[in-house]
Amino acid sequence: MSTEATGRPSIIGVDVSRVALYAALLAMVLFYLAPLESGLATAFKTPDGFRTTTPFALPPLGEFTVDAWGTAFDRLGSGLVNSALMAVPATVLSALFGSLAAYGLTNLDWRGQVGVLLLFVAGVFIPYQAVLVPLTQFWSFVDLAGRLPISAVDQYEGLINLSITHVAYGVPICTVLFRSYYATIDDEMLEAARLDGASAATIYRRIVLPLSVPIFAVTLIYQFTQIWNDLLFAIVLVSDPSNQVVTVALNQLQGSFVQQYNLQMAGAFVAALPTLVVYVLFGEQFAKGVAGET
Amino acid sequence: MVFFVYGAIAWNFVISLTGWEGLGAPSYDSLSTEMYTRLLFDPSFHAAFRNTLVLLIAFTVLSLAVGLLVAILLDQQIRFENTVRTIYLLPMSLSFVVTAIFWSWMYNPRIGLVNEVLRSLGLGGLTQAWLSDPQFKLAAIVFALMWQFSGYCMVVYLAGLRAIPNAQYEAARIDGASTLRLYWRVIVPQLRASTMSAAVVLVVFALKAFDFLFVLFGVNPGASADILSVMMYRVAFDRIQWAYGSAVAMVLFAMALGVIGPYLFVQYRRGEL
Repeated sequence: MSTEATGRPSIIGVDVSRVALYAALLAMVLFYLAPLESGLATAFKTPDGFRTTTPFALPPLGEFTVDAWGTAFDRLGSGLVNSALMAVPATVLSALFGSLAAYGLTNLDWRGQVGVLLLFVAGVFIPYQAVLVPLTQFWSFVDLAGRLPISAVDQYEGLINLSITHVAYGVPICTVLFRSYYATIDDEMLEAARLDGASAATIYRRIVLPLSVPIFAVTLIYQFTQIWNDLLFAIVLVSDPSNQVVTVALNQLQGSFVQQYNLQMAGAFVAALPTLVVYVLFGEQFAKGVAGET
Repeated sequence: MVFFVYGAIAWNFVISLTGWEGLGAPSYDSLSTEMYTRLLFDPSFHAAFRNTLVLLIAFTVLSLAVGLLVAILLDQQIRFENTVRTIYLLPMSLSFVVTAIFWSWMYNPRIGLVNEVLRSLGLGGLTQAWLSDPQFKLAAIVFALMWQFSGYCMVVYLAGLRAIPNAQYEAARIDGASTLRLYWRVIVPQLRASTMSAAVVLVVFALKAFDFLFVLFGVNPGASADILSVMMYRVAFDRIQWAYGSAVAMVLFAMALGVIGPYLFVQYRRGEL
């Protein structure tokens, strides 16, 4: 922005305040990365290795091992698969519904719009605790497996319930994200289409949806991370161990290997791997999703 | 959506008026506010309520301060801005389960990084058993959560800073204002909207901080670190006192409402909804 704000060059030609600035920024980089770096270094050490070296130091020769990673993958493998089965459809569906709701709330005119919008925005901020007890009641009442005697439903009942729940509670934030984007769409264009006799559904499919690609990217990435990372809904709604998602499996791994920090760290990275990959590839979209939450 | 969210909250409220406990279904025949009176006289509720407030305030203020500072530093036309920003925001993309595991290692009293760093700085006297000493538990949690979410504040503030025209910096310069004064008097007051929206989101994250504490301490963080969201889970799902848990949840909901209600009202009045 304004270079004047950063002080002026010193006589020796090195901008002292710039150096201090970069030093401060580097210190913050170290601060944000330290837990990750010491976790990564620890994950490659033997138990002796992590007890005798500084956490962030690289594993010394002879104390280097990938054993912890093997065990972590063994323990968390089925959790990873379950999380993916649950999170991917939930992400896509909540984004789709959010897009539709935002279209209805932004580009169409009807009475009571503001009130419904308020409910959606407030819905973003509701603490999940306030709905947990009714949710367990609801799902035991719905009893998907009992009503739909299909083996797939029976096998994945917990994951299906969890997925649907995530869709329902993800729609508010998706709607908010899509809405701020749809508010920038040129109304005249939609109006012209309307005058040509296009229905609201046609306008959505032919004009709004194709324009939504960038915001779909933002929403999908943000939602995927949120749903993947959740623990609370998963421990409350999924009781069948074969349906366990990766966050729950990781929590159990941490509880059963209390002093084995190398294994815990490897497990943490294994469980975080999909979100880390998504973040590294699409950090920009994630940042937009984060900013859009306000 | 409306059924799932608001119907469930209403249902939760009704459950909190019953005396439902243990296995079996709730009976909606006789409703009373008994659970709420019970809350008033429950010392563990008092502790959890107080800790929740402390956590909310300390975490929000600290994260905002760090986020603002970092945003100002980042706003000086630096190189690699995108890379640096990506690194600062990285913790937020991680699950609470993952970050809690990292921090339980960071805070390990004997060989954790926090105490190692203190010792290497010659501050060995300051090392603590951060997560087991009741005196430091809550502070340790606040610090770790700040680590995770200050990057978010940075993003919000950076957007706010970018919206302030350059001319204002130059005008203040010409008036001879120092950098510190410039930011304190001219720039920060204009970031009120950013502060408010970031604070609302932080408060809500803090109310939801359940996952983080649950991984570190299970259902019993102890009186010094118990918060309402953990208490609600413990009461409802561990002791299966459903009605009482629902009552705790209603308190939590009321707190969230107390924060977002005014926020939404202001947004609405400004025509930003």
